[in-house]
Amino acid sequence: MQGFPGNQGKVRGSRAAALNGWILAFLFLAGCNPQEDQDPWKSAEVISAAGTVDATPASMAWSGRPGVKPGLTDRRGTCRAGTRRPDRVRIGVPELLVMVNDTTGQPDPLIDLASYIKSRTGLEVEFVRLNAYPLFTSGLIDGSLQGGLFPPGEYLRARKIDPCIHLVATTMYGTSTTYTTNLVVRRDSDIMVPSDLVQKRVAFSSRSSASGYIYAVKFLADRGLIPERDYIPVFTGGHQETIRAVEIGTVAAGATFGRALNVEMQIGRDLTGLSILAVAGQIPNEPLVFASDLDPDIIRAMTDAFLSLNRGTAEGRKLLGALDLMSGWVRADDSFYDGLMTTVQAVDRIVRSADSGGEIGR
Amino acid sequence: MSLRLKILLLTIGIVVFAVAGTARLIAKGMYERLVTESELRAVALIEGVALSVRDDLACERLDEIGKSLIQLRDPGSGRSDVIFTLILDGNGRAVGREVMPEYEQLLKSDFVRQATAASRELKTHVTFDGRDIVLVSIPVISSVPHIEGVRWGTVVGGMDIGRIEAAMFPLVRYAVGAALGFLLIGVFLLVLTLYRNLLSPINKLAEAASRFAAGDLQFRAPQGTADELGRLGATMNQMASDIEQHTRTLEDAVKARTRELEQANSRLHELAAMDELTGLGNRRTFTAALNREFRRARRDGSCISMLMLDVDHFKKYNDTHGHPAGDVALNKVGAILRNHLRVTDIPCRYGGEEFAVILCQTARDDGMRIADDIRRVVQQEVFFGEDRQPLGTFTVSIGVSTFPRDADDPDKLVDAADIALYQAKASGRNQVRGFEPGMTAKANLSN
Repeated sequence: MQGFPGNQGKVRGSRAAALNGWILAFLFLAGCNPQEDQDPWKSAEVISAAGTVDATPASMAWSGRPGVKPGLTDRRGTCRAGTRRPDRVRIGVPELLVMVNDTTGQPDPLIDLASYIKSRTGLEVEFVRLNAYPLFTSGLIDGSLQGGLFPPGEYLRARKIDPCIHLVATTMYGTSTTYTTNLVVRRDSDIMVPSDLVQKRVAFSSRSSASGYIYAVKFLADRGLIPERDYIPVFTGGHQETIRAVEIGTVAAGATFGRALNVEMQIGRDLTGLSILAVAGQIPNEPLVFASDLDPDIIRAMTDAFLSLNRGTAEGRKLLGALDLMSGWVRADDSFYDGLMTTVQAVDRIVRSADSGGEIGR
Repeated sequence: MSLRLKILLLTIGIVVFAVAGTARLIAKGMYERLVTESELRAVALIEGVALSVRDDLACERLDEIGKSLIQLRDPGSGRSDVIFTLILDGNGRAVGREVMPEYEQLLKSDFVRQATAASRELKTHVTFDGRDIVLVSIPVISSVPHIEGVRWGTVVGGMDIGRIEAAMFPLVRYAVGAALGFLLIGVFLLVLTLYRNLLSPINKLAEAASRFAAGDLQFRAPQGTADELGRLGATMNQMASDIEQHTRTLEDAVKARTRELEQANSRLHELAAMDELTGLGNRRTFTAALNREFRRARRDGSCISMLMLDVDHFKKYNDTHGHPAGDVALNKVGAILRNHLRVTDIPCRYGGEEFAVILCQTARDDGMRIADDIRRVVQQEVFFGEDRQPLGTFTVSIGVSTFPRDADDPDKLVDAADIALYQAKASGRNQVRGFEPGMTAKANLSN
């Protein structure tokens, strides 16, 4: 197993998540912000048809242009077609999209997925499993990623930085193109209704997480609870970490999405000590996004390859069968995420109002 | 036909119409509502089935689909009205089905074939084996708005509305019965209210109007309520009171006018028969009275004496003292005649300074004596300026005639008296002369 110095011996999948959770819990108690101290690429994995490797500077082929904004708009501000034709296409995927349970000995399903895409497009495809949301945007901007199954909130952030990125499809789970946020609490806690969270600590994964922050804050604000004013927000860096924090009681409640709980149970964790306080939102699923400088033919070929893959076909069922309830991708456009954008803006006002004493600005 | 009967018939008509119409409306409305509810229920149930199997359909978890369909058999699931459920995959292949045996044939209907091609929900009614069936198909599609998505399959279901109708019929019957019951109660209350507040007051008003028409203006109409009928009663009472008052006033006025008219007639009659200056009867009265007394005397065989009296030198008196003094003198002569004659005697002013007196049932001697008494009284009475008369005093001359001695009809009797008067004048005046045969009228004498 290759990797960065200090990343040797990293445990993949469920074991990694479990251990990270405990470490994060310890860091909370110590008053540290784990996300700020983390090397963003430390836990990244690269999965290709050839297998899985840890990310290295060489394998990630840094563009050397970190932070450089793409210049794909003409003088009138409209997007120009990209021309870049890389010899391999790297696609970022959320860590929770495909959890690998090492105990089963099953190969990473993303390997077969990469093979399928390669067979359909003739391009080398690598999936990069990321557990930090900002890496999606920074990877797409600096050229280390050519595409990604973006966390929805992170997509909005990337679109703000580069309005010319291409959203071509959204992910389906079962038959649904949306999902919800869940507010979880300990079953033995005295939190019975959202208003019981006053002056309590509430865990969120990160500020750009739709289910792990945005919709949960909006849900609580609709019931009169403003962050910092009425409850204390705590950022854990990830959904599993949020679940751990609720389990060990360092926070009164945590915001996560339903599939995170499913994944936890799939990897054998006992969540009977938790209960769901509330379910809210209709969040569009992870969009399939490609970089703005990518050649249109490559984007088209990749899009067609992803859209051809769903559980309506025998091959789709075989490839996607290991990916929880993921049933494929369906064509989508940017407007599908307008509702999310509206909610993000509302939450921005809510947070600013908390800074200014609780009055929500318009 | 009385108003009461009309209202009764009208009410019966309204009740019959309302009951029949309401029953029909309720039944129709309930049935339409029932069908609509049944359709909504069918759609909701099939949507529920689609929702429960859609993820399993997408992931082709046929076992899970089968479990979901088995649950439909459970009467407690609330879906027992679904007579069949058919799950088709994206290629139109049946991957699950739950069907009641008697409806097996429906799975081969055109609707099922259309459902696999339709991109939206379909709903239709069919009659199968005499039963009203609602067929619903729900496509299972994953998509984002306005963009074509992935079709996973189709859920088709059917519901026997007749089963639902049968289940709900007692409820409908109860509802219709209750509605009709409330309607009848409402109609009864309406009739009662109409009778108490409309019919009864109208009857009393009609009775009052009849009494008023019959002249019983003392009767009073009911006016207990403050509504239009009460105001009508009050107005009728006021009208009767006004009529009564007006009639009374009119009667009083008529009585007064009648009295005035009688008085006027009496006065007019008096004026027609009386000499205004002396208060005695005039010549017409004299003539009528003389004729009347003549008829009586002939009938009774009695006598009538007549005096013809003339003021001596009256022209000179007038010339000396003026006509007003002459009028006063004539008036005084009239008063003397009135005061010194019997009630049965009839004195009249015959014309100018001449007077005529009819002495009923009076013989010649008595007539002569009465005439002389009158002459003497006039001579003894004091008249203004009489001393300047030729005889030194105010005097009269009188001629007397008697029926049947001197004349046998009124005109001759008057002529005879007049001749005797002439003789009295000719003899020196201030004397009484009785008619004697052989007397004849001579030339004019000045008074």
